Amino acid sequence: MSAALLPKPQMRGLLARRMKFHLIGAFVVSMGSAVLYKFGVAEPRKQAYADFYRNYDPMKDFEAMKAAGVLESAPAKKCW
Amino acid sequence: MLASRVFSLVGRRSISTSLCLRAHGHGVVKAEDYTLPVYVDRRDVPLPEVAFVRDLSAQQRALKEKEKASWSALSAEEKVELYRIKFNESYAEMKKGTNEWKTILGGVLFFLGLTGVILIWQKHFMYGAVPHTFSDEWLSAQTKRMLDMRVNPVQGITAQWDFDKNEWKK
Repeated sequence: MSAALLPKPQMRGLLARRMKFHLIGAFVVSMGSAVLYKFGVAEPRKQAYADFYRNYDPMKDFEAMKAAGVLESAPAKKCW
Repeated sequence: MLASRVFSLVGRRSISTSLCLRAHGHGVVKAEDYTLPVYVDRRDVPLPEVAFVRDLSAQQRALKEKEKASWSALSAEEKVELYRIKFNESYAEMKKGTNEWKTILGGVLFFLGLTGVILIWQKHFMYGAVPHTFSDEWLSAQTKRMLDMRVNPVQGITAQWDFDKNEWKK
């Protein structure tokens, strides 16, 4: 070995390093996706439902549907 | 061997076949290649059970003799030659990537394209007309009925319709 020696490679702790990397990564990815879903999907959906039902009048909706003629048991015109 | 010679003195008929075979060196089954330990190039097996080169040339045998003496007497090339006798690929060579992914990706895309061609051919030459319920008139009547029924009013289709202006919400 007359040429310059290569630097000594990492001999110990290889599994520990890999495990640490993957443990942190797994934690970050799973928590991150959970947080993203909560604030990207779940919270907006809850807000949308709250907003919809805050001033919802079911009778008005019923009259609108009846007028449009989609309710078989509540026809728009009085048949009898 | 001695036993078979003794038996021949006693009587020829008492020699068993397997004993005769053993006398001539046929009794032991020759070890097949696949039953012997093998050399592997694997990252998790740093020292395989056998050396890579099984039958050494005269030159290599001389080198192996030289290896038994002091190692500082060996030149760098001789050390590399000894390494290559023992191992096939170094770790660097083992871990080196190939360009195989390009072939695989190319093959996958090619067959996807081929499938697309087949599907287009089928739509053009083989399939009949779609049902009348896919016509524009039917679809608009269908959508109007869905809106009248207030389908999915919170986040779905009815939520996108503006009932006052009678048009889709911007």
